[in-house]
Amino acid sequence: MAADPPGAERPSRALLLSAFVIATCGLIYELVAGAMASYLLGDSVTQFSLVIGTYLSAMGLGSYMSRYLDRGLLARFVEVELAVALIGGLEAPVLFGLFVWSPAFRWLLYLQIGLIGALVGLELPLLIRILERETSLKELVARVLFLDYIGALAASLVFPLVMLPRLGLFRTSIAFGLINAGVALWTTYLFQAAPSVLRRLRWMSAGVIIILLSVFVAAGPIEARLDANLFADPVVYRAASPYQKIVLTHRDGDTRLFINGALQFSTLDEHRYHESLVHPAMTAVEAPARVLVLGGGDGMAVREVLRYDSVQHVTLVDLDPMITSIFTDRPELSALNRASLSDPRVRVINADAFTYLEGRAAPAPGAQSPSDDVYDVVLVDFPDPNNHGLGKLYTTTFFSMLDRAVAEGGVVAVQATSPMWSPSAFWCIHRTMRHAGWQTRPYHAYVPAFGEWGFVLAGRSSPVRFGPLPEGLRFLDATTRDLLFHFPPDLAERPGPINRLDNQALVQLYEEDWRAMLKR
Amino acid sequence: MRLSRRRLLKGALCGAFVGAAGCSPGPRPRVGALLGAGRASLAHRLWAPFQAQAGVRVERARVVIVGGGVAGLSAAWRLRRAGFEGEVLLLELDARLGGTSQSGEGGSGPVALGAHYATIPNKENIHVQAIFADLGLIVGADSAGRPAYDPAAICLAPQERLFIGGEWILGLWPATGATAEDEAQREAWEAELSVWRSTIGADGRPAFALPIALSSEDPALRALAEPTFAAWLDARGYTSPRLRWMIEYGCRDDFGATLRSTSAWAGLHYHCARRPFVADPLDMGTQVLTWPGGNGALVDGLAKRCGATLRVGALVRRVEADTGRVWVEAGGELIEVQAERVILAVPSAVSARLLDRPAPLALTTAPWRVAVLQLDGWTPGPGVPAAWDSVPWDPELSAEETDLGAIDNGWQARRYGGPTTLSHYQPLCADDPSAARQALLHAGWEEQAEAVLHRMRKGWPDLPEHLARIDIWAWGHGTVRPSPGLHTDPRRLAALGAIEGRVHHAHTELSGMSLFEEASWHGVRAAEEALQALGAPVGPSLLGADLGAAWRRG
Repeated sequence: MAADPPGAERPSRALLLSAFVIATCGLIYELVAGAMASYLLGDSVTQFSLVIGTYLSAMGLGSYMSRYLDRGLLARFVEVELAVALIGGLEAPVLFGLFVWSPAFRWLLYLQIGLIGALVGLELPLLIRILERETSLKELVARVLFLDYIGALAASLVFPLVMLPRLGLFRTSIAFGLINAGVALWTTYLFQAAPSVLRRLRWMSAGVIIILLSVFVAAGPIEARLDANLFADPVVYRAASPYQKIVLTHRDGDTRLFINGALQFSTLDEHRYHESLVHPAMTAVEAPARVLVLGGGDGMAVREVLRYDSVQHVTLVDLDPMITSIFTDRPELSALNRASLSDPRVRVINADAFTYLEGRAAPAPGAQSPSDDVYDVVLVDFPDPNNHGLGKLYTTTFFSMLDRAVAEGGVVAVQATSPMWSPSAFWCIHRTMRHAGWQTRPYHAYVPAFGEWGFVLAGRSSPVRFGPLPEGLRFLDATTRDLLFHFPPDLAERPGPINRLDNQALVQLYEEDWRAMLKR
Repeated sequence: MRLSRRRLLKGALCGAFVGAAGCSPGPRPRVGALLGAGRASLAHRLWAPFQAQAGVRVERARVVIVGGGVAGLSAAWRLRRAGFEGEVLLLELDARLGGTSQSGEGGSGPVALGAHYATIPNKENIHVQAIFADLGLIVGADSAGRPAYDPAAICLAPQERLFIGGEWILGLWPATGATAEDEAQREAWEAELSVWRSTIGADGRPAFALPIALSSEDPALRALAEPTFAAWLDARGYTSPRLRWMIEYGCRDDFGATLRSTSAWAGLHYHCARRPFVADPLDMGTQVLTWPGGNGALVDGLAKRCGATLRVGALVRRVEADTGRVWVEAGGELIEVQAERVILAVPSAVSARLLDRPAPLALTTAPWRVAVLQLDGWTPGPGVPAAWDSVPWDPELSAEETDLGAIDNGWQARRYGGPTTLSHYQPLCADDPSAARQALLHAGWEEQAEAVLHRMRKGWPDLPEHLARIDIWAWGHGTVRPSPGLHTDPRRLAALGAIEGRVHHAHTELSGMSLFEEASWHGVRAAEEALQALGAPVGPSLLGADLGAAWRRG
């Protein structure tokens, strides 16, 4: 060992600076984990609380474990530093990956937070022991802990105010990983050790920096696409069925249902949507008795249907048993549809509506008579046609098959996307229904959560006369109902193709409409 | 914007960290087999020495049809349609009917092993319209009298997608990264095609028609059959590699040939001969009819409606043109069938062998490898999530090496995802295909399966984890190539089909193209000839505008 260089203070000052950096980075990883947990799992108070608890206790464990490290402290310190840089730096991308691929996301999240916490916990005791050789303990503890807590303040200010808005979660976590790795590399130049050890440590640092830099470059475009998908309100329920991802959020009396990230309803104004979907059709038929609802597994449309005493039975066909079962069994959800799905008049069938209608081509074995199996009113409430699997439910083939399900004098109402935001798609659905032989009357209603929303009412002859509306509606009265059918000039009909199984023109129109809308 | 978040995240992460751990839980062990093993050796028994023997069991039939592919079945169908009541015996070497249009069995229904679509026929293509009507594929007509086709058979959208620049895009045009020059050449090409589509020859017939017998024989147009398509494109200034890739795709798809081994006439025919006669043409998304399991559905339909006695596993060894005697090995026994007329619905090399005479014209045929992949699910790659036909764009591979991609056998079931079976197509397009053919017929399953999965690794990154089984089917002579010179003089091809004694010839090769429209046309033509020779009522000809006679003029 060579004698200490003239400025023996220099390395210890530098190491004290690294205490500051370490503390900042350590808290940043904690904040990233907390933010990720509340984004992905919802319920931010619980998530932050659990993340902080896990992290601090893991730090304690790491500190305790430091007593088992005795030899080559400086090399150990650099190694721990590099491990923190790699695991902490890649924290956000790895957590996203785990969320996507692993059903055990929650536990892997805590495991990772624990690991980072333990490594960070190791750092300070190691640092103190390294510096202890040169400085008195009294002085050392004061300085190190001061810098540690000040570093935490720096992190808590920089993270939400500077880093997150500028870099996003991924790059913030990677950037601090890079700083960590930089400190490690720098440390190898401050102290003297066997050249082989130093070489090894420098190569390792370089490796970690290269890995972090390459992920940093790739992370930008990914995160830009992710941000759009995060929910604004706290998530209160989350489930994934084989068909779709279901998320419920709740804030201030507003419950919202998202399917695959797309808003299905907000309890603030869903009555406007469901009253508009259901009542024009129900009042266009005298004493509707038999009702078929396709889609609409949340039971809201059925709730409106059951307002009519003339209704004898309702068949609800929804693809996803998870949707219909949570809206039947979970009290806070069945309260929203007034337990409509448990009504004895309602039968729930979980099937693909296309396959269901196709199966009707051959009369069901249990059907007593053919008329048993037709409906006075059919309400079609599918998600918007944003993929081919949904696009098929708006084709000539589908609307032609629908004809066999409708009784003499019966009517159909179809959710038809927004005539404001996706006018080409709305008018394509209208045109396609006409092509399939229906006499149609398009209409629209203002639903704040969605904007101007469109429907098509149809029958074998044009439904023009309406009976009285039921009691207790919040949005529709006779005058409002008449107004729904008026289209102002900016919602006027526009030409285009019809939607067939072999062109799926609607999916493309819908996509183009939304792209155009987002550009505005 | 409204994608599943988890799926979107997965796509984004996979795209960014290709090969990172976690993108796939790891490949499964490979399961599968070489299908139809032993077919080639059975067929090659034809080349063993044969001596006609007396004293074997004798059967009689008024018409014997040798070959149970589309041509043979269409001949039998035409005889039935004419109300022909005599015994018709159809002999097929293979265990299944259909030839290169046959289906196999997949995990969830029939799978295509060869031809897998037909285009909606032109107005003048009356024999195909008659077959389709009989098979229940025509379900009505619009006010202009144009037929409406069974929606279940019209290929669902999106029909094609192309893997380019790390993602799937719609259509076959390699748009990603195309230069202004590429786009300009493509526009010029499309404009030129629309001219050729409506070009009429001096004889008043369309320059390009399906069946090709209806095409103009104007020498000025037929001169196009002399140069290679490559040379013709060069001369017209179509130099864009992307455009040429797209044009060559057609040659590989229909002929198993490159721009070099296709004549300009045949290459243009692919693009210009189809003028679908169909109800509401403007609303049609595609002009392709397809079925789960491909054209096996047409084969089944013809087999059910043809009224012939169908015998599979029957190896015909010799046909005596003058006497109509046919020797056939079936069930380990040699039988002599005495026929009044014989329709040879087999390739010209086989009919030459059966008749024990040289073939009048040597044709080049392309070997094909078809892989059948059973998937227990799939994750859509980046871009367009699914299509009937998924085609890779890999400009680094030569036309000889590259594959056509895969079709989804479950596509018409409208599932747009979930478990399905893909048929992956690889024509071997070397100029001289014999070496490739030998290699194909002798390669083991392992090697071939690996080759297919290697081809598919980019567009289907998680294929190995979803792959339940991969089977390989090898066609030694999958398609005939319309080589330069073949169509210059229609009579040269027609010579292959000249009536010899009691023998009529029917095979798609007689058109120099392997297409349902051609195979069935020759079947129908041979049947009408046989009916005439037998003095049986023919009824209205289905050949179109007295063209059966025109074809025969040679």
